[in-house]
Amino acid sequence: MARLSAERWVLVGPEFDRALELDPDGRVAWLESLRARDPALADDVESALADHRALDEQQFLEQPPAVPDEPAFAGRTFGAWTLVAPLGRGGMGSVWLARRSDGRYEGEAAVKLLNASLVGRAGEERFRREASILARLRHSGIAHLLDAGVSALGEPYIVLERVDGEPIDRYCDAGALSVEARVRLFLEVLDAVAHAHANLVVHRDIKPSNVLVDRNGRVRLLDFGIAKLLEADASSAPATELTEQGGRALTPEYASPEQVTGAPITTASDVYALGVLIYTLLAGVHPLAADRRSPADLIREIVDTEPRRLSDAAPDEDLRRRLRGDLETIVAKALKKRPEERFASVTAFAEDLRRWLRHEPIGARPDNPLYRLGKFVRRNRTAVTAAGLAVFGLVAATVVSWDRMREARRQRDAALYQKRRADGEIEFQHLLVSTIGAEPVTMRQIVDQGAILLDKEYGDDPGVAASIALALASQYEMLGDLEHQGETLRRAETLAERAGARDLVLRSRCSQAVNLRQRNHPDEGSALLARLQPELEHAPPEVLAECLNRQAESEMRANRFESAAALATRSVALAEQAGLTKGMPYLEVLNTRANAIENIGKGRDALAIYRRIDRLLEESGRGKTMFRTVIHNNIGTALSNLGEMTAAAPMLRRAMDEFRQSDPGDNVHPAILINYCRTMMFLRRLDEAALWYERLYRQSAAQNDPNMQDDGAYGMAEVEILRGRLDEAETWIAEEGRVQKRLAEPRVANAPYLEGTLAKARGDLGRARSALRRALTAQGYDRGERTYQMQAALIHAAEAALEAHAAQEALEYARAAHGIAAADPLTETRSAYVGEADLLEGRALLASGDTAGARTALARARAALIAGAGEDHPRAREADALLARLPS
Amino acid sequence: MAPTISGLIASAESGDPDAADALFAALYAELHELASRQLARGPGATLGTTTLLHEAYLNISQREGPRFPDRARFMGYAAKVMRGLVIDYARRRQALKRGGRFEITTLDEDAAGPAADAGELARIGEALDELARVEPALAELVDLKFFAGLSLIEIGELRGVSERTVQRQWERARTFLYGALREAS
Repeated sequence: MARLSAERWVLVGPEFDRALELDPDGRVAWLESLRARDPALADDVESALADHRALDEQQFLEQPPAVPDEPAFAGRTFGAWTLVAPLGRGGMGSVWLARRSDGRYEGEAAVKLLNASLVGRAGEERFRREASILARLRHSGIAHLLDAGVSALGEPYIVLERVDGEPIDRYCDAGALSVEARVRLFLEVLDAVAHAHANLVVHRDIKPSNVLVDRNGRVRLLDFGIAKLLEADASSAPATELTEQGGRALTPEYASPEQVTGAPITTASDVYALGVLIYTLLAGVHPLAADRRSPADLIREIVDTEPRRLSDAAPDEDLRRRLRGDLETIVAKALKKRPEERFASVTAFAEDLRRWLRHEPIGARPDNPLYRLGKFVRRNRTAVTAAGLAVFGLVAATVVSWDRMREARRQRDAALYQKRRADGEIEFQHLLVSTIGAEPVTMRQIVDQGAILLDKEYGDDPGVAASIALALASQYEMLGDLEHQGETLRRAETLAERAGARDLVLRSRCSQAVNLRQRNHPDEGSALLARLQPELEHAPPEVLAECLNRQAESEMRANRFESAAALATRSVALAEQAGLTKGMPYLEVLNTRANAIENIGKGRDALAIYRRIDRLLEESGRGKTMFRTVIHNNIGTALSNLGEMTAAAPMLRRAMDEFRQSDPGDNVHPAILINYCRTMMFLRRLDEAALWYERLYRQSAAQNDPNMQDDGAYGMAEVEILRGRLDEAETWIAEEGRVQKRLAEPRVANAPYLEGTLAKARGDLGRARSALRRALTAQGYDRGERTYQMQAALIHAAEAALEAHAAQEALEYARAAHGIAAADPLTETRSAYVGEADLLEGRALLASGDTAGARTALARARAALIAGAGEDHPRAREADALLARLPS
Repeated sequence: MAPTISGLIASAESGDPDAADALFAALYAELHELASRQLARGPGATLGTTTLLHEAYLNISQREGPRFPDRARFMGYAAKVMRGLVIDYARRRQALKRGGRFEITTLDEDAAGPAADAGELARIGEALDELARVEPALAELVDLKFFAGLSLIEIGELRGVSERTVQRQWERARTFLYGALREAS
């Protein structure tokens, strides 16, 4: 049909408008009536409507064409690369084919010029740093980041391995792949993403155009973490990444609810995007049927609307049948609105899919409780191995021993019930191990699996389920996973209430109170605790003891050590009075007590207690438990706090390695990381410290834990100052300041301390001295408080004073540092902290002319430094050198 | 003394055909220069067309003082110029492509969008010229949305009408162009 001229269109236009407004039925009727009036016009309108349908499908003119002036780039060099020809343009900038200018890299690469404005040197630094993290990602499924940098003109660019491939959705459709084949291909994608997550990189922009399949049928992922590279400056809020420069909106089809609402983006956001991807690959449509929505509507739906069941979205009955059941349960779990409800890791996602492929029971629970038990019958149960039981020592003991104690005091009926509960727990263990099978398994997997089984198997005996849930919750706590701990505790409370088990209700509430405090809701936590007090006073001793213990732990995290020590001591006393000294709970309260008294100057006593606990654990067959790792950490920390650095280091390293072995995500409990790093920093093993501090920072960011993230940034700042990389340190200081804003309880001394040490490194003594003084004041120095945390500030302040020729002031600081570090007689000769303080004292005395006094102090310093930090330590050498120069 | 852009706009609007051409040339030069300067200056190696236009407006209006017409009118002219720039660019790139040495792979992120084919763009341009004769507002809309990259919301704001109205106009304009291209190809 001949097309309409513009003149004709003037007539047709309004009619066409009206037709478009109508729904399909109304349109037909309306066209009929038009045809009666003016058949030619009706024809034209129909033709226009047909055109409109076609152009809508083809998205005609939806994408603006490329920008002018790209040819200007051909031949330009970026770093070691020369641009050859444009490859395309898209959301983040233009992409160019490039070759290495010196011919060193054999193939071709793609250089991506980014539409980003880096704010000053800090921004550039951050960009480079981020890029270097991404460059470390090496996996066959990930397009390797070859290089990244900022050109002389300030344009940031990245160089990617060039991938010749097709977007995964087109590939699957072109090859008409079956459901199984698509799942298998998707598993390759999950593999790659899991690798990145293990390296603490979140992709943030997973979508088909970033998931290519190359000519060999292998999956290659592009643009990992690139979205993060583009955050314009460190102080801006996390970008929703939904608009690009120029105001064009990118499609939010793959955006997770948290991305859309501006909440922090974590690995769970990638899980969501992967969920959308697999849904689309399997059903052929978007879970929210995005194609016909405007971006604004879609955004609302991402947050509000539950996706349609996968099988319901299938276009034909055959496919529907294949998608029904476990597969849609798995996909639904990935698409949960709340991140914590999705798969905890991409690995878990993959595991369930693999189980589906093997026709095994999956971990994800359907929302509809009807679960096909048929699968259970088909599978073989593996025998419980001895090793398996040992790992369970922890889970069982925490629950069973208190109960066994109580059993002895109860009447027959009650005793019988307890026995059933105990048996239930043994059976639970067996079930747990058999579900996992004979493969080597990590603590994390066991705990996760335990949570799942809990739901499935103990619906009819809430009492047993509640006590198991409590045990699981403390496992989560030990893994550092506060979110899951809180969730499990809530479940425990509900179960306990249903069972009418008051003790368990109290225990779970108490633990929840503490959990809240740890998760940055201190007021809520304290309020809950206060409400529990009256009932607790009348509860059985073990319940009260446990609650006191939890509170003590909480007080310690808030740095209220005297209070913590009092609570912990009371808790231990209660347990001993009630004769409950066998089993894990007692060891836990012992541990808390040791923690507490360590902080009020009784470090050596604490060390003794830790070593005792370690021995007891070994003897009672709990040698390979998570708790033991915690104890190893505590021993190492106690040694570190006592200034015995060379002894502390291996112990802390051991704790770290043990922890990593037990967590498939290769995460380490942040506390262990911090302790290790601090020790490494003192020992001047700065690269090691930097590596792990940075790891802590990234891990905490990925897990949305601002407290630890702050520690990570703070640590990095300190390390960089020590390394003399002062500009980098500034970046980290800024970052620390930014993260601090998200904390419920600010750490006021951080900023002045870092400011002071940085200024000192720059030689700006006036500023250094005043800032350090402010830091000390913030920690209560002027009020007479003397705590561990002040040690570092005092040493720096003393040095700054010396450099400014204020010997008296330096002496005062040095002596204060000595006082803090000298916890007991042994520390005088063994502690590197004491040694450092003595060193500064010696220098101060020397500066004020007291050579004799200086010699004594320096000799002491030398001895203690060598004992605590080794003779190669810079401080030990310093003491050596000064002594050598003294007139004999 | 060279005429100001506001002067040219005024003349063009009062019907002076030479002024219209001169205006186009002046704007073209302005935008082209701006683009080159931006690229040389960095940061931000490539520029969104919308940003370019906003920048241009800021620069020119600041330079020419308070009597410079409002953004809405400026945008209308500038968007048409943008069309010219884009088509020219596409032609240059096409020439490179036909050089035959370089292989374009699917690293193209605009996988779903239309190829920036110079021929097609030029045909769109011609169709727009035709449309502009009878419905200038629609043609300007296409320039603003497709070539200048403004969103429907922005255009609505610019013109003081609802997004819905702009949306309807857009559908109309698109359908016309589609028909025009269908016939021509």
